[in-house]
Amino acid sequence: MIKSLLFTTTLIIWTCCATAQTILGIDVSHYQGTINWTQVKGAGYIFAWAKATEGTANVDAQYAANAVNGVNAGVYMGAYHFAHPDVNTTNAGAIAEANHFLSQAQPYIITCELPPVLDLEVSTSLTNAQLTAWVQTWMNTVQTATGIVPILYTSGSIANMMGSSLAAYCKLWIADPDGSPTATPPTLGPWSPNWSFKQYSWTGTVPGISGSGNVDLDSFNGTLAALKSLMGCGTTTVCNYYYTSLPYSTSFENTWITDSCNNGAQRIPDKYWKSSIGGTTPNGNDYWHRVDYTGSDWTLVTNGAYTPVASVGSYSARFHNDPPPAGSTGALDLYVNLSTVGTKQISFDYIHNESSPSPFAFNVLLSTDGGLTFPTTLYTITTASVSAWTTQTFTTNATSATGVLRFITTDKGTQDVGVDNLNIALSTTGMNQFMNDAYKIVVYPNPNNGDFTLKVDGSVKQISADLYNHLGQFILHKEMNTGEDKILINDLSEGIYFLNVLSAGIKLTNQKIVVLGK
Amino acid sequence: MKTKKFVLAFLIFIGVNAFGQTNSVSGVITDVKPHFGGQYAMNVDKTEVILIVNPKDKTGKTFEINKHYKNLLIESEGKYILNPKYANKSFKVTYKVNGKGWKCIQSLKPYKK
Repeated sequence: MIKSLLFTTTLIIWTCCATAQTILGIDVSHYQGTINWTQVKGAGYIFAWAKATEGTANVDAQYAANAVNGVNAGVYMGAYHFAHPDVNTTNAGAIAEANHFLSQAQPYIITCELPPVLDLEVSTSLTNAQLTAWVQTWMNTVQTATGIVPILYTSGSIANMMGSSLAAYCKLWIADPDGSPTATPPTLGPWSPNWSFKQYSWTGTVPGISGSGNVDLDSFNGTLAALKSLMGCGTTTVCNYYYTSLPYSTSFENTWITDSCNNGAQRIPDKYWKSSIGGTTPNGNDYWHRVDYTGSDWTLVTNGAYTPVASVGSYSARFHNDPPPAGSTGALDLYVNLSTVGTKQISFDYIHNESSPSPFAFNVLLSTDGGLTFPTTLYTITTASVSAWTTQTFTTNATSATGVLRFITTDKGTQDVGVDNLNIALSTTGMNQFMNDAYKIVVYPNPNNGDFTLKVDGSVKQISADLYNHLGQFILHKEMNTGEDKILINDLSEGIYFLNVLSAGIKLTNQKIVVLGK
Repeated sequence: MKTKKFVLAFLIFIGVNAFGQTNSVSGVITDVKPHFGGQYAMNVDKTEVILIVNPKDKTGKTFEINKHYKNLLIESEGKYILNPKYANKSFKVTYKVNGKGWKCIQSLKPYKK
């Protein structure tokens, strides 16, 4: 009986204290230098804002590193912008500041991470109404671009200057460095009595950040579940594969981020998604996807892996070899809609400055079933040592709407493999069509998926067309009323066919038609 | 004995260099003005240093500073100004950079060239 009572009491105390755990975080900028985010997370800080921009030109030198490394360490990350309504006083100025912020931070602003923040600290000559309008304009611009309502960071005295409409619109992160993560701040302006985050110290010391007394400490006014709800965790669907249309090009100028889908869980085993190549798809969805097999990875490179670090722009995609005894393998997948008939001309720049790695392989594989299988090898690099950026080219006539190009390498060497400046162009001229100059007969596109157009000069009368397969068996007869008509073939398998075009029963031309799978 | 002295000196060195991170600036205090969150900013030799409000004082009327200079700023017409008795006098101001990048005043001492 006594044991049972003790157990129950212990359970009540445990439940009480576990529920009441304060959610702690930090906010940082370049002042904190290079941060070991794993140590930060290990010390119990689960969220962090990193300064991204200030005004219309300033970019925090540590922002990109903080945004990437914090997320990779499992810290919920957000970006903040230091506002200058004292300099850019008009609403147009607010828009300019918002756009500057977005230019740096938008790739990292995703659901289930912290919302973006406007940091309002400076004194201005604006009236309260003007300042409120300025803040609202900045926030509207950011919300329109990201779909996420930003948060306002400010002091109690500035919060007092804000209008109630703003308080109804956005949440408040209040600066009140009284040393207590839980005490209610004395001044909250129109947000009173509500506050979401509190900056309770400007002189914290945090493992993973060098120095002492030089870190802002923050707390969340609620439970972890409430924080996740605020960040929109669980509101997104599972990440979708986006298939880019053609033509497509990239020089890998953005950075890798962790997939934020599935309530922040990283995809297993395919851990990382590229969420900003192409710069359009939010919430971790994108054209690119990487698959790590044995500890090595495709990632972004800025220096050190090879020289120069990019053939175009400032970045490239690097396969970083972290070799186990047998060598390591990694794949970088591009989801691409190849359905437009025609030859796809693919080129990319490649570098791997290593004389004799073993084992080594570099292939570009093709999947036409959305990445379930990769039965086709489109391109192979057999020479391991390519000491300078060299353009590689190949083509495919595949017409799958769910195509995936897989750049896959196995490497045991000490030097990284680099890919940059990828371009996929669609050619609908040249070999894709034929023309009989005498009668201006054109079939396009060719190859095709069984849907092509036959066009004949208007002066030619009584046109007909007969289609035969490669065995000479008759397939189809078509009478054309005008000089241009469309011939649809729905039941044919892939293969070579021959089209006889006739005028009043006289053959004008016989041309080869290539039908690819749909 | 020598070893003990060395260890002591080493520990002091580490303490000052690894954890102190205190810098200083010397000159006349000018341009006292309100700063974010109820703090006060002032210039010393063209460097903006911040006088932090004592967080234990919810009235926001006292600052974190050594005892002798508690009256560095005095209230005048609803705001704080430099106490006239310290005008045009040179100080050595030690400061520490906090999480917001502010140079927060740690101590004041009279400064003579």
